[in-house]
Amino acid sequence: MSLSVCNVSCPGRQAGSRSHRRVVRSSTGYLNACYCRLPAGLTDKASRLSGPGVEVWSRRRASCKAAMACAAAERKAIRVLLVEDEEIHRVLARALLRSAVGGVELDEARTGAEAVRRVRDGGAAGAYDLIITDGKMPVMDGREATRQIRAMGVTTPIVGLSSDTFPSDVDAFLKAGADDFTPKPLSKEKLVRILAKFNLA
Amino acid sequence: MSAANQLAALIHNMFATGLLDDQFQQLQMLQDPSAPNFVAEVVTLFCQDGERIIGELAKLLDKPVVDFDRVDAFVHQLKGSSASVGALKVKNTCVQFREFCQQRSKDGCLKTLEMVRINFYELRGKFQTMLQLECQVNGFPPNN
Repeated sequence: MSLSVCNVSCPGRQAGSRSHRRVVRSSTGYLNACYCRLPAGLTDKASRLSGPGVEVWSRRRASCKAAMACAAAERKAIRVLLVEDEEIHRVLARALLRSAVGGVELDEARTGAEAVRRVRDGGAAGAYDLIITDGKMPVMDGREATRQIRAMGVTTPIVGLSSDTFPSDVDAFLKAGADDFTPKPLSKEKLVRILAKFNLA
Repeated sequence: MSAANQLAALIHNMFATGLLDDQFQQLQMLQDPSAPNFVAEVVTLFCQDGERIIGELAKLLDKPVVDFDRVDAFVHQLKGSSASVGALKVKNTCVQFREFCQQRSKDGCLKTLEMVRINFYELRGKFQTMLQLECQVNGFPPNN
């Protein structure tokens, strides 16, 4: 999907409803005003597009995926916030991200509270393409951080990461607003799946 | 036997005896010219974490009234650290340890701490040998 197609045909821009606004911002800010809930009647227009993410636009209630695909196509690096208190996990995640993504701008937070602050500082549109957060952390855990980030209206994909993998642990993350969950340890295979799921690969 | 062969045999043995699992291979794959010391870095962090956590657990379990939630939090950390490096035996012992924490069993925790200690120090010794052999083979100084 080229830049111009994306610019002209973003359904959300045409809908112009602030209530439908979702947070999608590329590193250049280009997609800052994209709208991700696709209003009724825009399906035909969307079906004329070609390229990654189009099938998402053709759904009546599209999520952010199509807009993110546009962003992925034009950006050079994805911005990731890694929320993890233990160094060994941060070192591993850094190496995996370097290995799995062509270009990555990685920010790190060591507590949920720090993650919330970093996202808030990124502005209402949110500065990140992906947030990966641990569960248990000092000061504020990953689930509470997810809840607070969602309460800000930020819809950046959030992936919970924990070695607690009982269904209740996974549910707690998803109910807090996470889009996905993956058990520790993080591996290349898991990371590639996450990036593909959110059109960030 | 050359250092390279000794290194290969040692790592093979660590897999064969269940000390390591596939996650360790992930670490090996992530080591490349841009990160030539990556495995040593992660292994060193694991060894430091393990030693610190085992010390904390011993102190907590030595108290007349045990704070099982704190014990569980430390075991959770060690489990995560073990999983990241592929320390299968240590990780599995941590899983048992957490069950005793949930049962509030001091005896169970003490016995499992001893197993964790044995498994951890066995692995740490082999990791140290591995890093020394890697140093001879590749010429990279180990981190510790």
